[in-house]
Amino acid sequence: MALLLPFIEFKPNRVAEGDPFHLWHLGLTWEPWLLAAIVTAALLLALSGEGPRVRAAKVAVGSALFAAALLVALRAGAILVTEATPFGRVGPIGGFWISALASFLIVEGSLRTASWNPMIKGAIRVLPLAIAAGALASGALDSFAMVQEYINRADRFSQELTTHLRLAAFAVMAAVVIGVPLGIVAWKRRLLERPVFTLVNTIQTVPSLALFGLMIAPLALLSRQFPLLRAIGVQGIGAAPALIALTLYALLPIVRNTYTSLSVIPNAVIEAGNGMGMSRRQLLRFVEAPLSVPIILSGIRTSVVQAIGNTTVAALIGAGGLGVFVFQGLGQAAPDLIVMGVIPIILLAVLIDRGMALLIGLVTPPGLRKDTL
Amino acid sequence: MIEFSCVTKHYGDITAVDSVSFSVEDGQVCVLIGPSGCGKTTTLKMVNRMLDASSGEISINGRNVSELAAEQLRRGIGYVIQSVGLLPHMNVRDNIAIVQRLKRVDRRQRYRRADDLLELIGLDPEQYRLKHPHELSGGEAQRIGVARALAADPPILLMDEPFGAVDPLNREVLQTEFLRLQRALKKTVLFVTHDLDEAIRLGDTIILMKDGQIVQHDSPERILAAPRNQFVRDFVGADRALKRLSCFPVEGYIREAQQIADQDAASFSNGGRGPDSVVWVYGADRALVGMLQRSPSGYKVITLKPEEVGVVPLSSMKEALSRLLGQGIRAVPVLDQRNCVVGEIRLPDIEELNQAAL
Ligand SMILES: Nc1ncnc2c1ncn2[C@@H]1O[C@H](COP(=O)(O)OP(=O)(O)OP(=O)(O)O)[C@@H](O)[C@H]1O
Ligand SMILES: [Mg+2]
Repeated sequence: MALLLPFIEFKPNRVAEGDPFHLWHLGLTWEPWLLAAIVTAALLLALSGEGPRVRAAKVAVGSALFAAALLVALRAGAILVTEATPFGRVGPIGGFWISALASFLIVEGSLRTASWNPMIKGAIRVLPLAIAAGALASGALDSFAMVQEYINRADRFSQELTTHLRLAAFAVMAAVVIGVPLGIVAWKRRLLERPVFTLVNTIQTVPSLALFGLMIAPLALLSRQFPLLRAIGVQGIGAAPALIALTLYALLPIVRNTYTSLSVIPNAVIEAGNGMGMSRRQLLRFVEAPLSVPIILSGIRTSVVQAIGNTTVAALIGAGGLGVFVFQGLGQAAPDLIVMGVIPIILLAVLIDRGMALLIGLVTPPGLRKDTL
Repeated sequence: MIEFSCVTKHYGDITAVDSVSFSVEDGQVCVLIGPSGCGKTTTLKMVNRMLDASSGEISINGRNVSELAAEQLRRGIGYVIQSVGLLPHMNVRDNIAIVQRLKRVDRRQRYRRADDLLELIGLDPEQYRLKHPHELSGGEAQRIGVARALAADPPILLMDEPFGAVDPLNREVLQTEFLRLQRALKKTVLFVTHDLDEAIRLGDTIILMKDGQIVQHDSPERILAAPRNQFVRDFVGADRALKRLSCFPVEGYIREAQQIADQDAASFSNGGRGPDSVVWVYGADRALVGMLQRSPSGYKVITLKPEEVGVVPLSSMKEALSRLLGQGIRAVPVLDQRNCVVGEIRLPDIEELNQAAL
């Protein structure tokens, strides 16, 4: 499939229809054969049995597949985009994406069952990203449409990236400040448990676009009524409503996990702590915190990843962020621009997710690791 | 000394403990027993102010507990709860050392103490100190719970069904261990149990409770021999003669035993022992391996497993009797820690002890 489908397309300019090229019609010499050889090796491996050797070979071939596909794509870029076509650009299509997907599936499938050192596994996982990043930095990918879109807006990009991160980070921080106490209160006061959870659950079910929209009217009203609020930047559109909406969204996983983390501490453990004469603060330090912090952190992990995604929508009400490119791309019918906005969002979410997983592993005391992993 | 005078505890309309008065002398074990819900746990928890009495006064060494700061009071009292409650995120050593950590004892000293305590409760420090609670059996966790309560060397111990979650065989082992410890440490202990045999074996005195009130507070022997009313009689049951045997450790009834090395056993000839005498056979390092039995062709050695037939000096006479009956032999060997025979218990002595009571 990877070898038969069109592999790459050429566009004379930004909005023109793409012209698909097959792997074999690109005028390349040995590169397609390399790719074909790797695909054949992958097929052979898929037919051979299990075992540590086969697994290692699969990981190697899978990684090579991605590298080769990337190599073909950028060699093709160099051939197709010449001085004669200054606005020309290439974009990977079917064949390339299938190769990349196959590479991911092969590598991930073998890693999942492998009992290797987590550090090595992690390194293998980021390897393709590193290769792609390297290619990007070296300028080899400059002829790619996505990269062209980026080059045209490099300043704007880093600005929106910062805005995006800042929005998500502030929202999650606010959600932690509100959500953790809310979870504790829901646990301590039986009466408040239902109302609290009904509230945060309901918020979660409102579609994100609607929630952002809902923020506009009341905030605009507030801003008009109170000049002080307007002075500090509270308006119907912009950062303030976006932050509020994002915070509300981030609340549920944090409240839920805080509540759960407290409810799973065995009564006997609390009683033992009290019985040996722990003060309120010592109970928190020696018993409650070590047992609940890992669970609360995994709630925060869910919240952050969600917030990175949701922040995209914030661009709609003028708060900025990487969503700006997505919606611009939608408006101009320029899919490459959309992809350029979406890919960093996905990368951010994945990176933060892995980072939080690492952190959670670090703060989880050894006696508890068994059950949480 | 722990003293209760007219202590009452209400939970709303329920009177869980109703005007209870008793005292526990220093170095004595007082066992609270009674049907479920009779107020044993409530009584226990008022001593370290996990609960406060509704009325009446509890004092320790003459000082009213309600006048002491709860946290300070609790740090001076070892507390073992039925569900153990080890901290799951800490290893065994840190669990044992936690009370001393609260008292800001330095780490080296805490850890040394934890190792000593592991030795004391019969667990190898090398093997256990770094384990986590989820890697322990129920019985091991219970022992660690006891070690934790002992860590700061409190003069008073409160134990709420500390061996509740252990199977009968291991429970006997833990009871023996408790008696050994108590003999060495001489704590003042208030001990809750559901198990009458346990109460009889461990208690210097027993308090039998019903509906929040004390029905009888007496020595185990008196409870068995002179039940105050029908409730006590029913609670004690029809087999009180047998239960009474739990009061006596075998150490007071040990007789000298005959024993020979296994390589000599083949050439052994009867040197005129009476019909009750048994000859124990020991192997290398003098540990018990079997007994001699007469057969038509002379004598032969029957192999025995020490842990199945033997008792230790702190075992009860009831245990000795059950070994006798279970193994169908005329005497049980009394063993030391390395399974060497230090003497034996004979059936006639048990019968005589029983006769004396009735
Ligand atoms: N927190 C509480 N609130 C209301 N009633 C309680 C509470 N704790 C105990 N009780 C009641 O007080 C009585 C005595 O309870 P307690 O726990 O002292 O019994 P117990 O003798 O320890 O029983 P068990 O052998 O089952 O442990 C029971 O009737 C129980 O239902
Ligand atoms: Mg109880």
